[in-house]
Amino acid sequence: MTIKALEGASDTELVARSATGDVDAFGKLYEKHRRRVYSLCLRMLGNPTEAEDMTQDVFMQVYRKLGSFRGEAAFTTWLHRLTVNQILMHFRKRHVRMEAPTEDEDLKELIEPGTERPQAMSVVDRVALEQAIAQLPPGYRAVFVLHDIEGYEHEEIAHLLGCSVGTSKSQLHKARMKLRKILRSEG
Amino acid sequence: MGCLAYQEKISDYIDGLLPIPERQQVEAHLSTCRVCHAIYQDLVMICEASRNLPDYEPSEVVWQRILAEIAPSGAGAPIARGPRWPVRRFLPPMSRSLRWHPAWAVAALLVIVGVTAVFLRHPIQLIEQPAPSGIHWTDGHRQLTIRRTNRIIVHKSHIQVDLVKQRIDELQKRIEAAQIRWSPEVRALYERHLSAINHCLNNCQNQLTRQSRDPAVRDVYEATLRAKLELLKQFAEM
Ligand SMILES: [Zn+2]
Repeated sequence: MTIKALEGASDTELVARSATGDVDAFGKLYEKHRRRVYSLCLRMLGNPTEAEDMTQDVFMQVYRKLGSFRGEAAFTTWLHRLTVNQILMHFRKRHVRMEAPTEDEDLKELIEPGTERPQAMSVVDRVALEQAIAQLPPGYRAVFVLHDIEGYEHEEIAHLLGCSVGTSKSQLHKARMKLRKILRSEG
Repeated sequence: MGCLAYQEKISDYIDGLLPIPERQQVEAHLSTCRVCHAIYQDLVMICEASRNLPDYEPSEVVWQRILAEIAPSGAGAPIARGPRWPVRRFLPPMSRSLRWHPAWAVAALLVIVGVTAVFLRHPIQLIEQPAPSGIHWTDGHRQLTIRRTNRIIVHKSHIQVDLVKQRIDELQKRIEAAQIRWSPEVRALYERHLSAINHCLNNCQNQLTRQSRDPAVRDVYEATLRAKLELLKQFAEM
């Protein structure tokens, strides 16, 4: 199949061709999904160099595991799950602390009445938000990215991170509160 | 229930995860408490903004590295499989007893291309000598050409050697000052790469003093200098 003929090919076709060693087909697959994978890596890891290394690792894994991909699962879902697992494995290898911070740290995220102006923010700047996300502790960041950006449910997050649903919920809330704090202090 | 208890429920409230009685309690509180209401509004805004964040583009070097690992080679070995940064995949050790000869040149070229390919963030023009078939690639935006033959690949783009050397000196000074803060692993990694690159540079320089017009040696020399510059840049940022 020529590169041009690959233009309209579905993921399933591209996967099938890639599995036979068709580098052009795999290139097309990469081209279609690289931004999604890289952006997820970038947000979870908070560092472009590490995100690029991770993107490479993910696609190498994809290439090796193409044979085990079951066509009935959507490729994007499978790829997404593989990416998340790869990132979490990276955190585990590097002993990144994923559990909730201590009670004292938690309390700092809560607002006592009368301690701040009761005005809501007027606008959330995209760049400022990205920078604020990068400042979150890894545990908060992972839950926030998975839930609020990638649309995972707490049950899935709890399963992936090996924590309870309650922990996932409270980490998410604290992540949002921390983001708010960062954004307000900058705004 | 005080404000702090309500604040803890705001996220679940936004996500629609509260049972009806609790939801009504939170709603009642938000309608009377300005502080908690402002927090609620902020969190809603953060959630909405997060859903609409754009995707980003990885640099082209990522695909080149993947391609280098997966592309089938005529010789059965991948090209440009250099050390990835900062992963600890070291350059092959070079024996001091090795004299300059074709096989060594091939090894040196592979090392350089590997290092260069990894560090360069710009599209790489690789040309081979001599020139049978190679891999042509388009990533949708521009044509990339990665060719290979007998695993000899030269990075061919001439650089201003004096400027590069000057920049290398500057970076080395910066690194000397910063090195104290490095862990032993990082220092070992740095020294190992640097020594492999210096070894190659020395060999090129020796060769160039004898045959100053050999363009192949010149290419290797320039590519190595560039690799050194990129290596120092990476470490100077640490
Ligand atoms: Zn309140």
